[in-house]
Amino acid sequence: MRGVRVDPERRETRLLRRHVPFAGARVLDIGCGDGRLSSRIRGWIESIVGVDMAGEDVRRAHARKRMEDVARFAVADASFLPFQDRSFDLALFSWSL
Amino acid sequence: MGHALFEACRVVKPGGCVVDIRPYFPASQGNRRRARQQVFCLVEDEVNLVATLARDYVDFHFADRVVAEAVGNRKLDLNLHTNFVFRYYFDNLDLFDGCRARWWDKARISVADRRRLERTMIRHPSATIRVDTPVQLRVLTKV
Repeated sequence: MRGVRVDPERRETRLLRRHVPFAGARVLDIGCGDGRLSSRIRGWIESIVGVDMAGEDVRRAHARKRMEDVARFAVADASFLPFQDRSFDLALFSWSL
Repeated sequence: MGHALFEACRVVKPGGCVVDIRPYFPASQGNRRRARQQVFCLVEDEVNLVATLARDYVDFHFADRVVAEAVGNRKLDLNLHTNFVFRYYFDNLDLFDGCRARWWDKARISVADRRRLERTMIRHPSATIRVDTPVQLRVLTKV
């Protein structure tokens, strides 16, 4: 959104990169919102699936550029995740727990 | 909330990670029952604290308890717990109000703080509003 900057210093991203084993990981972003965090970590991972209850946010996440090759987004309830057991290396609660 | 963490543990393979990023409001910020974000106005080289956004602590406390239970039950190991300040910047008051309604709808701003913020932005139309949110990062490993 023009005129709004969210964590432009990238403090969150730098801490994540330092402390989380993203390399080659299949990541589930729970409460992905508009895909802000998925977008920032996309270069470090194998793939990412983002889920959120808010359809409008998921549409925004879909609209992000340069995400098609590694990411997909879906509307889903975090309490009933539509995925098989042990199908991800990493689950990320981005401001959603 | 508790079920979401259970589901995350289910879909992550053993040895995989669960990462929890969310606001964190230490007791040292004053009233522990009211979690606060700080609102600053940046006017040229000056940074002025003009308001706080308050909301009930109970949501955050419950999430803390759910994670502590998962660690206590040996479903997850806590590898890292660290804090940092997450910042939002708004070029004007309308943008701040719009995002506040969308992102922080449970947060309250006092009448006095709101007036102070408005007065500052009227006096300095080119000022930037900055909202500081204390955030915690927890990295847990599935046992």
